[in-house]
Amino acid sequence: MLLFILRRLFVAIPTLLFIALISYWLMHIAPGGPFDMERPMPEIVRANIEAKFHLNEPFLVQFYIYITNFVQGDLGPSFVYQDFSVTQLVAQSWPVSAILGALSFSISVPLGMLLGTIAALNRNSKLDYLLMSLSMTGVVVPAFVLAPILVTIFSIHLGWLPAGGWEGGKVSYMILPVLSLAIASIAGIARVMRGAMIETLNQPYIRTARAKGLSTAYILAQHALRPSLIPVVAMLGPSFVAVITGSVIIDIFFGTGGMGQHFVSGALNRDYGLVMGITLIVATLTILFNLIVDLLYALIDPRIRL
Amino acid sequence: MSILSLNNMNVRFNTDDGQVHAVSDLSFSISAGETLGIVGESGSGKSQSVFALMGLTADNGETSGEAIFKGQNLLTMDNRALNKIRASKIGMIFQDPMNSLNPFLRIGKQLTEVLQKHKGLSYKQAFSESVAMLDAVRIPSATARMSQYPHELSGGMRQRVMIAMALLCKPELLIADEPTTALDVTVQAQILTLLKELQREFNTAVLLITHDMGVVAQVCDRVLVMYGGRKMEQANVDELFENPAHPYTRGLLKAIPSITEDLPELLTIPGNPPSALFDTKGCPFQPRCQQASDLCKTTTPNANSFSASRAIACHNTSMIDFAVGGTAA
Repeated sequence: MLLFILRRLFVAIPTLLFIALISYWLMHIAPGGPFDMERPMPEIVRANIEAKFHLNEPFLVQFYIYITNFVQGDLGPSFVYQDFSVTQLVAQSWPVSAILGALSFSISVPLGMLLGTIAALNRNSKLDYLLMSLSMTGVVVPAFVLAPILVTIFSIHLGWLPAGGWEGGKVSYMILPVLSLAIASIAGIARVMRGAMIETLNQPYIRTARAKGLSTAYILAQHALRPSLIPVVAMLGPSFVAVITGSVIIDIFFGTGGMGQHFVSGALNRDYGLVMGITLIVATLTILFNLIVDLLYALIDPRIRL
Repeated sequence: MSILSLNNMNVRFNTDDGQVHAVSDLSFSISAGETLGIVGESGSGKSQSVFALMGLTADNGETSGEAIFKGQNLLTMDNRALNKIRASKIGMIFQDPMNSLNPFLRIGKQLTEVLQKHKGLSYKQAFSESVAMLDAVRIPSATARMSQYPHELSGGMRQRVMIAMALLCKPELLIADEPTTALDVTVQAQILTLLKELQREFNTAVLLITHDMGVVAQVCDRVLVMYGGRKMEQANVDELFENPAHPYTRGLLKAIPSITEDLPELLTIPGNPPSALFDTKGCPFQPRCQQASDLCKTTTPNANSFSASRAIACHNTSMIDFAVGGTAA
């Protein structure tokens, strides 16, 4: 187990390096640079700035300098927000993203599983059809459609909740962004959970459990839940990534000030340092989360050995 | 004194293709300490009839008739009432030891929960009783097995665990649905001997479902032959093997390959089993029966009793010379 974790973490290093190289290269070949203005700046100023940020060096040398600093914990300067280092920008926006992501995750996993189980227990009934049509809608409607609809209803027509902003993390400001993030996850998890639960309930060992005179609630909790978790856990990795990428849209729409906002503005402004920093953070989280998912498998299913 | 008697039990399934008649008009009874074998080919309704007894019929199924267990009709009981009888009064061993134990739970958990539920034992008491039961079914190093998962045991061991599980509460009736089908012949013999010994020890009535005539001859007192969801013949085991009366039973027995005769081909009953989708008129075996008459095509024969032990569902019993063996009343 420990060996497995160490090996996976070790493999993560070249993976991250590769991701860094590719994204650095992609940023590099994109036309324009951080200091392209509508009015061209004097040649001499430009040369000075480029020298300061090592932009005059060959590509691989630039990459080498970036990586060496990165390994030492220095994400470099923001090329656009010149009063801030990337580390500062990330430190500022990271808590917002983490809270949004964690909240939406901790709502969507249990709720999705609950709804999926209810649908499975009432399969092919009206309740099942209702839940599954709702969840299909949830899966197909993208966050950038859902968010404006929610705002129209709850902020503009009903006036219950603010339409945007963060205000240092007041609960009322969190509800709509978290909902917009969570609904697709809830829907996706509910669908997978329903299928998994139906399959589990058809297994011979559930029939054995019923023949043992155990109550339905006991069978669900003790015999059927764990087997049904496997497909749901398999979904958590991609679902986590979806929450992160979804938060890009949410951050922009609600102006919550999360990392997603910097991601987009960084890319538009060719703010190399900022984009690289956020890319690598997201990549690290994704790798870590996939590792956690694999560990969860082994925890759930005794037949899986790591 | 019979502890279970079935009277005209029917099991139907509603499917998209129509109603499936899995079991029709089935009646039999079983007494304490007795072993009744139910034989028949796949799809003859053997398993469905015992699932119905235990209230394990699938959601799209419906049962009718009577299954009187100690004065109560099992078929009309709700799930809660059944849960008091399941495992505590009627134990069940399933066909497939590979999939019938929960692969996610330790053997110990799967055994102790039965005792905790039905006898209200503490975990500690349940644990020691479970170990004792594993010992009784000859599982070596029983205590260590308690913390193992099903995949760590061999097929034979898993089937022993299933048997131990079914016997934990010392049920009065044990239903064994093809308990040895998935096992090789040596292990099969061990399991059958074990079942017999345990039956003697606890005076359990055993309802044994099988399609293996060898198993029937080895362990059963009485036999019920099913075909197309109906009872074809019922007899004491000696009567049946010496003097099979129903054309289907005869065909079945003839199809057992002999090691002394050298046949160029194995004998079979020509034709295929009927589809359970339509309630065919007449005898279900009639399309494959060489003695079938016009009457067989129009009227379903009732299982007529010829003696206390013997019943045959065939219009042509007069043609069948089953009195030769001296078993008829």
